[in-house]
Amino acid sequence: MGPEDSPAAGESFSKILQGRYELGRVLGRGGSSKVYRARDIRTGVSVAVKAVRKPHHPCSPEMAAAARRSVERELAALRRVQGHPHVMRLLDVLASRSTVYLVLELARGGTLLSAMDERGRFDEPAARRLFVQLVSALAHVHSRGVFHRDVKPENLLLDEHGDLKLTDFGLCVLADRHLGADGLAATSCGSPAYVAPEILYKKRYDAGKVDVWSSGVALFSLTAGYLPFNDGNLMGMYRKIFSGRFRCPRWFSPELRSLIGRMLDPDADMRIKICEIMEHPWVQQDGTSSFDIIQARSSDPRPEVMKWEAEMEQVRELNAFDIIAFASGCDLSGLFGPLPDRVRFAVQGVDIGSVLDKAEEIGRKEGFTVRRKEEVGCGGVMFEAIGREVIALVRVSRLLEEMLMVEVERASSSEAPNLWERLQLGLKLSND
Amino acid sequence: MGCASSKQFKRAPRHGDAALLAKETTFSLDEVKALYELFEKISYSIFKDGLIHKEEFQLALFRNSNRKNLFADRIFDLFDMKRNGVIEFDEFVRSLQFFHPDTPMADKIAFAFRLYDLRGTGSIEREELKEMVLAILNESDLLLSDDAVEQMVDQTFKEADLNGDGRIDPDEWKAFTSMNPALLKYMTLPYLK
Repeated sequence: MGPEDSPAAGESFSKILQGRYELGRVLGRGGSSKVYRARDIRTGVSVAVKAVRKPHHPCSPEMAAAARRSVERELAALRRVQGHPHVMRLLDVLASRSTVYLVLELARGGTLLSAMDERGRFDEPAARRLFVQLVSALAHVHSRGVFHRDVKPENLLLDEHGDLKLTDFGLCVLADRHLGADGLAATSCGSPAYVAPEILYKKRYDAGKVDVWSSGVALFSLTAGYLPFNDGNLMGMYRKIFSGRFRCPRWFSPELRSLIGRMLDPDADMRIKICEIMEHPWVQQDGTSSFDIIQARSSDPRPEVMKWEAEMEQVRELNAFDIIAFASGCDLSGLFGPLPDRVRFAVQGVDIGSVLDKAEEIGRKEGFTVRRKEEVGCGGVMFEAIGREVIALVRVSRLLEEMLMVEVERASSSEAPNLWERLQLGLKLSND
Repeated sequence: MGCASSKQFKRAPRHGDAALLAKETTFSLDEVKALYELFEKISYSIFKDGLIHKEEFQLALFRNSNRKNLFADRIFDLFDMKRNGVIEFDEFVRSLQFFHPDTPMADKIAFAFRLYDLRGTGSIEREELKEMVLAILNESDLLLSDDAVEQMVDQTFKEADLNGDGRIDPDEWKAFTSMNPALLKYMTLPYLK
């Protein structure tokens, strides 16, 4: 934590949100939202809180419904794309009668736009580093069926290491909900200077290709220091976008000219795809690009592992309805197949990490491969046998302030018959 | 359980019935026929009359016909659409479709709401929520103090009861579940697909 984290440093925290987050100064404003710097009272960690107001006096029920849908969409998208180093992490969600609060990790470096204002244009190696992070984030969100549709330097934040975080999914589109039967989107959106020509034509468009275009405009601005398509009036700017004609500054390398040319192709069908960008010579230039590092952090492609990881990311502090949903009477799967082999118990006075440590230790002692995943407020351990068969799952989530719920599920009873008892006993006593 | 003589018990659904059910539910004709086999197995397990009695439902669900369970009771009552104490095949299929992976989320949300509205008042009251939490704690190893239960119920109620009138109404429930989609995981049974 930097010195700016202490309240004595002059940051006057005023409002406390539901007893959890102390709101500080406003970092940014949008149409119906405000972003505050804030602090988690329980942990002292600095966070950002995006407050999205529900309309005060909506003109019509349709408008109120539209506003609600837009918050729900942003939330659904954020949840779905979690788990990538260059996508903003969602830490918590709170709601009051008038406002939904998204608690996000704090990007201490501010927006890329303000960084460009401060230091002017970026040289190619510095731009490449950020661009690779952006493309990797977009490839990840596209693979989860989310299209951002508003990529621009204002929505790209930098953390304290100068690494990029993709944020603001307020305008995104979710593949399975909002696209037509042909998989194409129809609503126009985005910011004028970054908008792709097919949106201006009001045609149905491929939302993935629109993100490629906007990223091309962002890459151009980052390295040139000005926009590729600009004009005193909007219609003039649109004309330039339609034509797809722009001039690269003389300091652009030939590889960069080539890549930007492929990204800003007004013919969406001919435009380079996200996955092809990774292969482009400009990206590949400094030998081992940072891609390899990002790729290495991505998850195991096996479906059961992916499902498990995705589930772990969904968990947050349990509420009373979560507990009710655990009732055996609600689970009709017994009508169709074997009864689930699962126990749940509460442990007190320990943290999630030490329960997971204990589970890991037991699993290793039995000779299993142990996979561990830890998120804010929850975590899990998966045991696999040599043949990579899943043996057991342990899941830990926060129940109340001082209490955790541990869930142990046996996926295969054929192996290690004593593991089951040992695991339950070991975890129940993990606070000793 | 009373007399169920008003119900015509049939060995197998006539082809027309199965086709009608397939038309009016998320299930295909083949799936309806497969569900009939399951229905037959359950409805002949104790009373052998082609109707699912509560004991048979508990036996199928828990492998134990004497296990009293608030939620199993609730689900039985919701499945028993005619409220005559038994589940007929038609009711079985129409109710199970809420658990089909392809059924719209809105229908699942509405089903869960009816499940939790224990007294059928059209809203979920704080007392009902607490009663359900206590019921589940009873059946599991989750031992929580009274204080902890109160704290959890209060906190959840504060989050879900957006207009603060002491009741969770269907709109508030919809908003709450869309924020917490994991709540309705049990409403989707992959077996049905």
